[in-house]
Amino acid sequence: MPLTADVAAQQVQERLRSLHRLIYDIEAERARNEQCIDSILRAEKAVESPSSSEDSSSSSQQQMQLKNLYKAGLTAAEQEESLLRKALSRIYEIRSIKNERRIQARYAGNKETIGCGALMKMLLSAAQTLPLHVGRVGERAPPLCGAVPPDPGHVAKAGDAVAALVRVSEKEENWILAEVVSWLPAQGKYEVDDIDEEQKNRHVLSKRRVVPLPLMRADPRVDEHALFPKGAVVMALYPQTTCFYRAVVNRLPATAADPYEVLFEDSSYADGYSPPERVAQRYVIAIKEGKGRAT
Amino acid sequence: MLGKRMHHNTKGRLASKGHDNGKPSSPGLSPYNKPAKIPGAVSVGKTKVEVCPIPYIKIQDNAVHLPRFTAIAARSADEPIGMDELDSLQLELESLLGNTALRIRYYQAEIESIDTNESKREKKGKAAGKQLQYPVKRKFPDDKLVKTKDYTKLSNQPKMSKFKVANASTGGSHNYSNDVVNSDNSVKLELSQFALPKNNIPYKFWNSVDPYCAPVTLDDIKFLESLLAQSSNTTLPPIPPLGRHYSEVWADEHLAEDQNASNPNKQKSSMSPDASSIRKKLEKSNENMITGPLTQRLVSALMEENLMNYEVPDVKVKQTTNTKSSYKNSLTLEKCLRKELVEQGILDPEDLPPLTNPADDEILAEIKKCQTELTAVKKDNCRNLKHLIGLCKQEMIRLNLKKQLDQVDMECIDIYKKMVAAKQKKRPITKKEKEDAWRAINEQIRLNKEINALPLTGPNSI
Repeated sequence: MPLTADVAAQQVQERLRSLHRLIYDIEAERARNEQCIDSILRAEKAVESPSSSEDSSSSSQQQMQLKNLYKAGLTAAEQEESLLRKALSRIYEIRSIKNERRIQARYAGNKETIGCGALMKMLLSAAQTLPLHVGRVGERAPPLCGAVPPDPGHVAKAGDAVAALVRVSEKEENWILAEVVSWLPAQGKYEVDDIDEEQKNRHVLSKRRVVPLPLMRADPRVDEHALFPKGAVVMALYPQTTCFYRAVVNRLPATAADPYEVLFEDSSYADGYSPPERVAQRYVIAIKEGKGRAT
Repeated sequence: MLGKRMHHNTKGRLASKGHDNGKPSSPGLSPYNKPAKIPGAVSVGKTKVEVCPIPYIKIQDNAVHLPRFTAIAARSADEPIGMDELDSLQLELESLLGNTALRIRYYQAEIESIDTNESKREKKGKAAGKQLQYPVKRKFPDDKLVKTKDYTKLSNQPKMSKFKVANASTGGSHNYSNDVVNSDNSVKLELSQFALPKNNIPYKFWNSVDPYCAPVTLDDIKFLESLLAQSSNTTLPPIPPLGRHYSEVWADEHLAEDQNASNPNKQKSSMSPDASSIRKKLEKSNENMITGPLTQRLVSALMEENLMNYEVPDVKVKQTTNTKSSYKNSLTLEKCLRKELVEQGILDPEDLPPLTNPADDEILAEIKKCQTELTAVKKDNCRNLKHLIGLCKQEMIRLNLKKQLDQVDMECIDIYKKMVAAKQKKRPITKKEKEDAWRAINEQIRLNKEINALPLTGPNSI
């Protein structure tokens, strides 16, 4: 079903309204949570105070009290979490609707031309607003979240951002940032567009020359296992370009909104590495050994 | 590397030539300044700058950490959320979500630690009264760390008391003894709580070794004898007569299938004889191919000659006669040819390969080879088994002697004890006692000699 501009706008409006309602709910839920936290903090103080620790029966009573408070806090926090997830999913839906529209517009042939500066800005904002995965307790991060590799049979959808190994000259191959146009199942190949529209080429590349970018960010405080470890050799988008190069992870993001700090391999520096550069989670991917190195 | 980038630059891939310092010109969305960075929940508010252990963003700090969220929450529903607000709202909501997720983990860890504390306390209360007060204070975020802290605190005490024990025993003073017993008790309690899982590897090892070291029994010999009987009685399976060639069987099957396909109404049971008869008819034309090497040579020689002489019809006649000859005929022909050629002195009988029976194919040869191998193995097995049985029997004798020797040894020890007792009581030793003692000692010597005279068995005997 084609998504006409009117329908899209209507859907977006609907979600915005729902989002607004959810925000009221969240604010109310936060107030309840704060009450819980206050009482917990008071109870914790009471337990810690020396007078009570003498008598073990009263202390155990306090412990039970504290435990009940924690339980109440837990349910409140879970409530808040579910509201927040709902609100965020509204935002993600809006984004996917807009993306759908954009892809359709491109198929229709009216490509919006973007200048260099605007492109860089767009790339940054896309990286920042990439949906965040916050795992529930005991849940592993899904494929294509942070550093988690895709499933073996994964096929990138049209419009997905990928790194693509493209021959740029006789001897040179480069990993460029590209967008999937279509998947050709008969040949096992992708049709991709260079993200930089000054390069007018459309490439048809076999699956192994295309690496999907993460579809979600990982929260370093919750899902640290879904990030590349320090010292990992990765492919990272060099700042202010649309090319991926080999780099070493120097520092992990501290928060979900933070980028990685990486050192690019660069023989023009004495130690073989560039000074630290900041690259968003979306643009740091696992290296494809043996293929990623353009010589 | 840089060269490559330069190359891109010329290609125009280096997108922003204007901002060299890496800061894009976007004013609203600067790349990585965090709109709401929340380290735990530091209250920037009025009074305290104390770090709260619970990850939380205080409502009073809304304006600082969640400006967009707060603004939207304060607005009425009539004033919709703008698309331009989504990015920052998303980030704020995400940071809230991250916080909530952490808070859930914190609560769960706390509840769990209270539970484990309770169960520990219960155990302790039963075992040793309220000797040890658990530290109640816990700090986020690292529950594990807290636990290890607890462990170190606990393990400190046993160390101290152990030290005391050592002191008490070496110093020889018994002043501490009461104290020591008490603390020793507690040490045991503590240790039992932190006891390592039981180490049963030695038992496992000895269990695994036991079968190899256990004394030989009659059952073992019986088992060996049954093995020997089994292996000497079994005869190799006879070689079945040569069946139909697999290609014939397959050809029959193929034909049957084809027939089935062509007229499906026919019953299946009547297929196979039909098929084989058809195939036989077809095959007759090919039968001349199965001839001996000499026949083939002769035929090819004749054919060549005939071709040279352009006597084509002649060849045809010969071939047709050939085709009619059965396989047996071709064999006799081969034999005749062979005989003739040898008699004429054209061929040396030693050059020729031995005349082969049609059943003598490589498979039969392989079967025969396997059979000879098997018989050899069987012989070897039987020999080894016999040897083993012999050894076992010897070992049985030896074990018997050993048993007797053990008895005599015990007797000797008894007599010795009696004599020592008598000496202590200054009672004279009777003649009978002396005789008994000598008898026992002589028996001991005799048995020892006998055992030593036996040939050695076991791994050391070669």
